[in-house]
Amino acid sequence: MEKDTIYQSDSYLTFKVGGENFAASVNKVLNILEMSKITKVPQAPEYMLGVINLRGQVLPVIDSRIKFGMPVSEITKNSFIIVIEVLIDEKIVQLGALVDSVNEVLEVTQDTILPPPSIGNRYKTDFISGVLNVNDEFIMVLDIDKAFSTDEIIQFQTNNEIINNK
Amino acid sequence: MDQFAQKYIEEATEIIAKLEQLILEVEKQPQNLDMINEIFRLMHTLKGGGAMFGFSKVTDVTHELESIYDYIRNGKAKIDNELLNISLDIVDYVKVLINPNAQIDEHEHELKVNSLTALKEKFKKNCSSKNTENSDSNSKIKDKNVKVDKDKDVSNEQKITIDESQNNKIIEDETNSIDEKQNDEIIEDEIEKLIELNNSDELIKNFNQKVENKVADKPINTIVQTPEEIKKIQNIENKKSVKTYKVFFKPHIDILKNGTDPLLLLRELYELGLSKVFTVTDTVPVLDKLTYDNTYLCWLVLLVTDNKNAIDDVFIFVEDDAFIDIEVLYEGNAFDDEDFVLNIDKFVNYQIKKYKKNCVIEEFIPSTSTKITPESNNTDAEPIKNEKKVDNLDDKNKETEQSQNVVVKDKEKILHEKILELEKVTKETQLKEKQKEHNNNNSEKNITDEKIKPENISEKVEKIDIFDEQEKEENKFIETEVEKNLNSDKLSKQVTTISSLRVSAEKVDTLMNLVSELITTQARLSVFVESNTNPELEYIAENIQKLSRQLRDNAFELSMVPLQSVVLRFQRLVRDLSAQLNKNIEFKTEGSSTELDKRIIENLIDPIMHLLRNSLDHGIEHKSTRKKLGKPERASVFLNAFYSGTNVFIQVGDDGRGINAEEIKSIAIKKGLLKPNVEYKVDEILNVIFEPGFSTSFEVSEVSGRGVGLDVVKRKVSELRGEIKVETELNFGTVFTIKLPLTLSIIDGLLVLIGNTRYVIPMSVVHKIYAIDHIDLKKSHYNLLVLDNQQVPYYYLREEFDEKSKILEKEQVLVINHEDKMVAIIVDKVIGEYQAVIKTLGKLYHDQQIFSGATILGDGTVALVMDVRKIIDKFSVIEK
Repeated sequence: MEKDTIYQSDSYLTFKVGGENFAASVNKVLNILEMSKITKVPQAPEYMLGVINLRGQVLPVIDSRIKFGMPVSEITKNSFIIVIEVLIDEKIVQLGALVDSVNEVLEVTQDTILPPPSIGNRYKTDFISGVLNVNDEFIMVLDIDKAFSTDEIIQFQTNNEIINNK
Repeated sequence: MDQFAQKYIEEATEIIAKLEQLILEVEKQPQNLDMINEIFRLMHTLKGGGAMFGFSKVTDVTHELESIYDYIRNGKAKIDNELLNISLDIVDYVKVLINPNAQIDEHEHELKVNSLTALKEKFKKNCSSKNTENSDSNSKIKDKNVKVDKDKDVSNEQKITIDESQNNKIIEDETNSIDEKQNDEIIEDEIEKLIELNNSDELIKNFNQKVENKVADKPINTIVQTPEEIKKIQNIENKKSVKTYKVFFKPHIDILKNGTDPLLLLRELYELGLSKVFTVTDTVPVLDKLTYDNTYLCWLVLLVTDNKNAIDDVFIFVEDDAFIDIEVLYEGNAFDDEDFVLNIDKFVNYQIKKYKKNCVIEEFIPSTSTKITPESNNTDAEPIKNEKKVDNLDDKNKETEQSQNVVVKDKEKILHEKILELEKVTKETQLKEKQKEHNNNNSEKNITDEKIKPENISEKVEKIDIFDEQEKEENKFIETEVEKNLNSDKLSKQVTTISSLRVSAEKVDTLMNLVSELITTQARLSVFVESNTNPELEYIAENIQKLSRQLRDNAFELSMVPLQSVVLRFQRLVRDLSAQLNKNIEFKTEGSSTELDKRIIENLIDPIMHLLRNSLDHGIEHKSTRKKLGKPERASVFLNAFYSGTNVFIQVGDDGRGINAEEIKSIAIKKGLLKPNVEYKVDEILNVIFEPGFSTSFEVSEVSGRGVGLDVVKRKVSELRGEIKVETELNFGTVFTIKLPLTLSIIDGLLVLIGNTRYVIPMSVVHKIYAIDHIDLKKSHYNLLVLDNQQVPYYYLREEFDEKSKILEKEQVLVINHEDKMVAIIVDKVIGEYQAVIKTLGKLYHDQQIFSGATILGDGTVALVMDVRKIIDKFSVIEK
């Protein structure tokens, strides 16, 4: 990955976490891995699944479902670990995020990204930079840096809530 | 250009380190001329690079300092403490200057430069005063030369002038007048005259004419001389007056891409003295084949100077990127010789042809003949640039007139050797005549020694010297020629062998990572081969195992750095601090060649600094106290390093007052760190000084002694998986011993299983292994086990790690030696030994300090490496 070619790209990887659709800029995604044996790290927060071996490097893996406050289901053969680059305290950190399934790469023009819904203080919308409407289904565009650099468990709105609020 | 600046910064940092070391060493042996020369050279390099890469401030200060060291290396001045202090100060300042983030105060900079200039003036004055005392005319002239050389405003011709002149008084007067009256009318007149003359040939003619005129004008000045004086002059001429050098400079075609501007180099040469530059242009290809950033030109420079080193220094940065041939052409100023001046083009043509023949010059257009363009003539070209220069012409003339009157025979001889060379090519009748004239001398030049006439005996020795040198030079040239012919690849083959490399730490880290990866992959292969019995595959796997192990050892060696690399810092600290504290302290190091992992060394600097500071400040008594105790006045502080097993020991100690355990105890009790009415061992009491609460108490109560920030030292050391111990004896001194693992990135570990997860425990902490029935464990109280009739507290890791899988009937106990106490940790099973390459867990697992990292096992999965010390600390805190 050439660092200097990172511009606001229009390609987004879409994936599912706990039944919700999410999208992440492909510039932030380095790799998509199949599930492998995750070594648990004792005494770590629950959403920190453990570490895996990514080509000789130790890669921490986060369970996106717990992180995003979604129901945790069985790990299936559709489960993947997407390797992303996150800016934490001005340092780029690589980490893996466990997702329920990976869907596709969408080519999107900037103007089709709708601003994130703003409703009350009940939900945190800092972590999504916008919403995509693809075939009447809403896809939340994640702000990877914000979503994964925080220690908190994030509460996202569900699809229905977004539609209801529109 | 940025990356070049970066390179310069890297190089400068290295030079600064060397300088610092040298300055410190020179302090001990101020008579060591080699060191002073080296300092001078390093300063010069720093200066040159600074100018080249836009660090003009570096150039400002180093220039002045370099000048001072020039006096010293020429024996004109002596090193004193003040100079060394200033030198170190400047070295520090340069460190700041090359830091791109540093803010530099212009005013402060000016002050620094001014103070340096003042210092230089002081040295200069000292030199001149010495001069007048000194009756030896040789050294007088040399002094003069140096002096003028360093004076920015005074031109190069003047230097030569003074060099060759025998009449010191006149020159001294002249120099003074030059210094004082900058805008002398005469100078202006000369400039005007010179501006009119823009053809260099004309200039030479004019110049020669002038010389002749002057000779006619003032014959008395030179002719009326006692034979003794003449002899002196001859000595000067022979010994160390200027020489004419032929400098051939063919930059590598890509030199511009490396950020070197050949023009700058030529300008630097030009500044060295009287010069004439010839450019070989026929190497330039036709336009459509010309690449704009290639360098096709090469140059032949005839340069009159007395400083061969200076020429070498000009090319110091491009040695590897260019073909450079520097040769003494003529002992003395060749431009004084009319014959030479007249035939200069032929000479140059011949030389260039010679280089062509040796394939040094590649011709791009074979059809055209060699074209030479005289580029500049320093004799009097560019007069506007340097006003003073013109004024020197006067000197010059006077000087030439003198030297011409006292032409030494062998000088002519050398010239004619050169002319003979010319002759071979040009076959000029004029020259032939000339040659005939001196036929006797020339034809027998090979047996000069025998031919020396009796009356010349006084000169004989010198002459032989000269010719020997000359011959040597020639032999060298022949040798190189042969070499050149052998090497068809011309310039590329000029590369000399390199004995050491500078590699960025980043690259080494990458290599280490790759090697680690290879090791783990290899481990996988071994696992695979074990289950697939194929003899051939087994053989290959075994070989790979052997090779990768060797590779690993080599790679790890690369990241090892001798302690020496940081010792300098400590030396400096001791020097500065002992002066500040007014204590006479000697710093000794032993075993500084002991190598340690780069990362360990980096992290050790602060703790060692701290220990040294403590020793100097608190450990070493004041001079008077030492006297009273009958101790040697010069105290010593030492830093020792040695290997023992797989550990490295570093000791920092002093012969000071030592630590009073009773004192420590009473303070510790006051602070609640020790309980009153309890018998403590001395070690236990001393260990209190590493407690965080202890140090602050010392500062507050102002009790003299140690302990300030020792908790930080201990923490740093334990972060490196090391231990620190203190030994002390009252009035005899204190020694801190740091025990460290050889490397951070690889450990001998014990692979254990807890639940379904495997962990690595460093072998070094494991004392014994026992098997135990789980039922027995249940029976035990207060987490205490009885092992070998000893009660040992234990930690049940299954519980601590929240492991929920089925408990095994038999479990295993690892007895750990923790701060001289036995502690047990219980795991499900010990799998075996494992050499673990430790990887960090990364930022996200920063809070999980109980693990020092993770390692990748043979099957590709990850195992965590336990930091047993932290585990014990953590879980015992919970129990409290």
